[in-house]
Amino acid sequence: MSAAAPLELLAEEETGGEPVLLRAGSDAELTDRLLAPLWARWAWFPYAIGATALGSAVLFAVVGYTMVTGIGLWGNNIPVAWAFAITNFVWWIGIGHAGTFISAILLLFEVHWRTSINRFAEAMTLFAVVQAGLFPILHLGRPWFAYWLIPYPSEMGVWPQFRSALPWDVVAVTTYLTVSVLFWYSGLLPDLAVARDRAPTRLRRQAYGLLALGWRGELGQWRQFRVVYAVFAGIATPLVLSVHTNVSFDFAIAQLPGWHSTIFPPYFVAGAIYSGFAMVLQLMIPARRIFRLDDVITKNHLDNMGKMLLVTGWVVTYTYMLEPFLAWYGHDPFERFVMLRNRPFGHYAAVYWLVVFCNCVAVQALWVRRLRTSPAGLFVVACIVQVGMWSERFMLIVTSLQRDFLPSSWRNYTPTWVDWTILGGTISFFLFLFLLFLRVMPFIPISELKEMRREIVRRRAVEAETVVRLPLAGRGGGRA
Amino acid sequence: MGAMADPMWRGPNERAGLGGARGEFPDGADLPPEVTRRGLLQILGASAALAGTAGCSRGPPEDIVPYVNQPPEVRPSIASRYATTMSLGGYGIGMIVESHEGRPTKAEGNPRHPASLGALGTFEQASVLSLYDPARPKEITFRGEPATWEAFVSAITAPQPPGKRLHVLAEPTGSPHVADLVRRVRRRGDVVVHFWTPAARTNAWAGSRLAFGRVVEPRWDFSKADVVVSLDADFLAAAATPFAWARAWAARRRMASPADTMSRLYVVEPRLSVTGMAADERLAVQARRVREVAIALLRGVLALGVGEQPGLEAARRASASAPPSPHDAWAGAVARDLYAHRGAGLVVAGDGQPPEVHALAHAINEALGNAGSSVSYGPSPVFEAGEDSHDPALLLGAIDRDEVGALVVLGGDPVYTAPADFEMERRLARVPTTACLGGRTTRTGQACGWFLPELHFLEAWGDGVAFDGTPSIAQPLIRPMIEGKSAAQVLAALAGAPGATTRGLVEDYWRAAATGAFEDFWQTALVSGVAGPPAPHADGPAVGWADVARIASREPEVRAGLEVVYFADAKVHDGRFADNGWLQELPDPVTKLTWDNAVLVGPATAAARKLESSDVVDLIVRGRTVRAPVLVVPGVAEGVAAIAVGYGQGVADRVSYGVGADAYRVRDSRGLWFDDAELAKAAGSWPLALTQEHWSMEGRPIVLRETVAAYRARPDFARPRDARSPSLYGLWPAGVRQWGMSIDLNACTGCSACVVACTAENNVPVVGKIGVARGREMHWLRIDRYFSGAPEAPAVVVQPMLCQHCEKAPCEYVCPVNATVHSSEGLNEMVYNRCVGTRFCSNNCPYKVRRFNFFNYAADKPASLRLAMNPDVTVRARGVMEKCTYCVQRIEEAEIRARREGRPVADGEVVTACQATCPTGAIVFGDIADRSTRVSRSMENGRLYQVLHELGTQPRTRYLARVVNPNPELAAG
Repeated sequence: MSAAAPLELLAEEETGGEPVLLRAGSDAELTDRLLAPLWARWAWFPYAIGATALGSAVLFAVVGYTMVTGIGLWGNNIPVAWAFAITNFVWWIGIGHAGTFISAILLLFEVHWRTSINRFAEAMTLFAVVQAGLFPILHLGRPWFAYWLIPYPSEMGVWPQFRSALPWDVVAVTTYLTVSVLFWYSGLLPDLAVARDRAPTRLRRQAYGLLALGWRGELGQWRQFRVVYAVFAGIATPLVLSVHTNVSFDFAIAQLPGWHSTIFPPYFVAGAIYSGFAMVLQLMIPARRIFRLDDVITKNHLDNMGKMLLVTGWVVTYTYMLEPFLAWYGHDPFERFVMLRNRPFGHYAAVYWLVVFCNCVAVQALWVRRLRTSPAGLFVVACIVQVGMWSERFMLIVTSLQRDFLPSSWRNYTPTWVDWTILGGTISFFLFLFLLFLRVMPFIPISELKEMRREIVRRRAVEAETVVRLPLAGRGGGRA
Repeated sequence: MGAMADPMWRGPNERAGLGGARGEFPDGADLPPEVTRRGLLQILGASAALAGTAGCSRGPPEDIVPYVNQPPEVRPSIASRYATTMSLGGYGIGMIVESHEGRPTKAEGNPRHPASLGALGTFEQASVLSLYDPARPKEITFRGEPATWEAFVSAITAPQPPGKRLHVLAEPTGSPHVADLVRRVRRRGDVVVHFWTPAARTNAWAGSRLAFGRVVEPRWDFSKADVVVSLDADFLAAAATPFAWARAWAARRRMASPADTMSRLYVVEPRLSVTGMAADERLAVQARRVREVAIALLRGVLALGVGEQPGLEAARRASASAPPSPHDAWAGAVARDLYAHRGAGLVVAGDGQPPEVHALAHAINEALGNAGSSVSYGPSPVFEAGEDSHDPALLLGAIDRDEVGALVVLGGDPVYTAPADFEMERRLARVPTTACLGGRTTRTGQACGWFLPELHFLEAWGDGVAFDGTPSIAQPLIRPMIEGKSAAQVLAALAGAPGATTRGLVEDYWRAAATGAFEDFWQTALVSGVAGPPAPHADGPAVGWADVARIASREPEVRAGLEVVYFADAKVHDGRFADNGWLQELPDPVTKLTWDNAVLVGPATAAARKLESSDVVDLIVRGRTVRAPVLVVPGVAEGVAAIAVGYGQGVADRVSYGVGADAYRVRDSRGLWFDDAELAKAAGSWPLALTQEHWSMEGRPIVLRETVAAYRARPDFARPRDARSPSLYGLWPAGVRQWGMSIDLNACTGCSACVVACTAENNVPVVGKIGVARGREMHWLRIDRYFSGAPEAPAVVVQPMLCQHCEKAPCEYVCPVNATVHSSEGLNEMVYNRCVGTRFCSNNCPYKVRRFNFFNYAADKPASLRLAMNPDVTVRARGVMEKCTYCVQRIEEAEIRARREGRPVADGEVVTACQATCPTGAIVFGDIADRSTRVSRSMENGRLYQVLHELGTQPRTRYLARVVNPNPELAAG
């Protein structure tokens, strides 16, 4: 690690509080400092990767078991034909949304605090979408025919049925995955190049050299890079809204009470970003601690992320309030039953109240700035939110199916050990991929951070001048 | 049983005799002994050389002969149908069995047979599956070792030592040729034949003897009855031959127009039965109190002053002096109703009630002048009904006196089914030579020295007699798949003809008995399935009023405390069908319980004893105990614990193994049908697999129900729920025919025969108890049952629920791969090949009638059971959704036939499986585009409505609302 430069407050963000970058020093120092973990030995890493690899192996074993035997291994039944798999799908894909939100939307809005965390968030997106992508295939009765959902000119002359939301899901998720990968990888190029240039061993130099795709940092490359990155940001931005909107159609187009609702698209998007931000916090806070990143991921970041949680939490809370109201107002007896009786007082009432506590009540703690800037406090809230958002999807799916129109077919759902193992396994697999990413990739965007540092320095210089001049110009009447 | 100790077995296959007896692996799969290097090279070389010849293989070395002259009756892919007869408890029922390339696959009723009229029940239809049961015993054994028929014959016909005789314990039979054989065997002099079955009708016969002095059986004509009172008689479903009665009853319930008259059904019963569910007025009382109600009825009727027969005045006085009963008010109202409909009423008593109740029922019918109009009497079709040969005490006494040298049990499982105080197993051990003829491995079979596998009725010739005396021939549809014998063959062997064939025995009897030319008779009997006219009515048996007076005046013993009520199960009967997967998985018509029996208690009894469903209790009767699960069922009378017999059989390797609790273990001959009992809660819980867990309609308009008065006032009360809702989208382009179905909830009793019909027709898989408990039963057609009102006296409605074939089907637009689509004839079609199994269609189906293959159920089926499959219906693979198709294979068959003959499909030509077997004709199917068809006309009824009409799905399956006919007097009180 480079010799500690004198700490200097580099910039006050518009939001107040701590700056987004705490350490000055030269570009070189910043580069060395951020690349240092890449070359260092992590004593804990073998244990962590071993544990998650084992979990992933269990996941694939159980997935294989399911594929060979049939999804009868799960607790699904008629009427609850969708349960854990779709819950997990919606949850994971929702988690993915925060990454794109941070890297694309906040980029377009030029929010500075996104810079240090966007790579992190994008990697999280990617790996979350990988987990999510497992489920639509795995949950099929005949997963080997999953490709029938893809519109391709087949000799059977049959197209997917486009009135259903599911073929659009395939399109949405695959597009999302493709764009996320490209966006993430193109952003990585300058950093892979700098890793190549600084790598201590020949093997690593070659590996990063291959990955850097010949990036030399020329002006022309930078110009193209900027254009490409902005274009990807532009493409990714609507995807944040469209993917989960389409996922919400999986439910909203059905006529099932509790699913059939026009409120679903914004509700799902807000919920997705909510759980996504929670996941970013869950990953970022330990990483910040382990790699001592409090100079690049400052309390300012924490504060802002906490506020995002609060905002999306309130959007979600608003929908929770609106749903029963609309059911009551709409006078549909079936919907009333689900919303006003079954969810709060039915067989899964505990899940409902857990959701209310996790997603609506617990998050209110974040009104307190001390908690927003406390890594431990924020971590706890993020975990609670994560549990809440998973439970929300479970509640939404299961309580609607379990009590639909004809009471004769009402039946509850109980997950089996296979259900739980698959859920746990995807978490393991997700962490496994994420740890690999941490180990081999520069997980804080170096070039972007350097760029931001320079911007801030330049702005401070301008501001200093302005501050000096202001009294003269300000008091003496308007500047021309 | 020592010598018979079970041989050790390695797996179910070996146990069932399916091979694998010698090694762990099948022949050839074991390593060859001592493979040398040279030997291995030889094998390799030979394999390589032979590999090239595989393409020009000449087939197996056995001689196989193709059809050179194809038998005219075997047309590949075209089913043949044969009339035959099945008997249960001595009552024959005619059926027509469909056969595909020599495999019987589906039984349907024979419309010409008086007991069937085209309908069949659950047992008759499911018995086809029993034919293919892989656990059927296949060879004759002596003490567990293979033996020969000749050895058995010589052992059993050996002369008995002095003082001992050969006893035969047969099941009650109506078969004329078997009866003739029994007479022939008796002529030997040293043979005694007894009849016994656990669900015998001895009470009814004794009641007849009590009332009339002789054994006759009432022939009820419900179509002539305005008022029907059932004294614990489940005549709509569980009686000897309920189909004809159910049809006649439904004829008076149909209400094709508001002007029609409607009968009124009163039911007095301890537990809720199918008949009880259909009741207009129901009184739930303990079984032992039914007699009180019967006496009160008689008192009420006689007090209104009917009849002038001698002795009637004494009966009137006797009944008037009987102590008052808490049910007098109810019975009084019913009596007034009966009186008001003199000559057009019926009082029927159930087999579980003591002879006195039967006698009282006969007396009331006679007093009201119903006898001769709505009820007549005829001889029992059962051989020697009500005579001493039906009294098991004679056999038991003979065994105890060591007078039985040999005992041959012909069918049934007395060791398991006999009352506990008979101690059948101990007594059997006292008999030197024992033999058992059985279609299944039974406890009796295990306890007897000789075991003879019994031929299934579809494998053997036979005959039977319907409840009204109509004889019919049973012809086999398949050559015996086992080395078996029929009961008639065993009797023939005892009579000195061990080599007789089943056909020879039947033919010989009818050659002598038939009038006219035998060949003509034989052809007609086989083709029509009816071999003669019904037995004439017995002329006017007169009620002995003195005896009735004695019964009516006897102080009814009023005992407090809990009472156990036994009943023959709707699915396994007395236990004989317990190995039948279709029946085990069939939801009980009342409780919706599968793969179990349970102690049924009413809500009040349960609350008083702090019991809940799935609790475990010890049912204690006369010091004997059986552990069973509890199921709380509304409508079970307070103080009653009802339990079905036939479960808990405890013979390993069979479907029934480990299923339910054995009520026979506590059943005592002094309380065959009900007895004093105690319940003690035991620890633990017994998971029950119910197909319907929620019993309330939640106030939703699912089954519409109205009283007949309200219906007459507003005949179109259901119509608003049939109106077509406005829509922006047009309908699908319509083809020539538009299929539709109407289901008359007034006629439907919930008997569940249609569920078995659908299972058999459509290859619906069986998923087992765990599958059902997880909510994965595969029935395409289910009977929903809802309770309303007070839990102690609930109103019950039933509703068959199957694919509604919606015009605007919610399942169709959510399928991502076009696997469920609309046909031009209005069918909602399921394309199994295309289905990937997202299950979105099921989620979006408001009726939840779609079923999903969570596992590879069809492939997991034992190979022999696959022979029962209908080749006209695709077998669904794992991961595929399935549902009711309106029996599209039958539609196609009719359409192809019509096209070939150049004519349109006629009305009534397409009959769905459920429709065909419905005893009450509640289901009508046909072309709704043609206004003249039966289904179109049925849909003109003002009671027509659509379930979940408000969703705008526009179902093709529509329902006729239920109309009930309560007694205004009771409603006011």
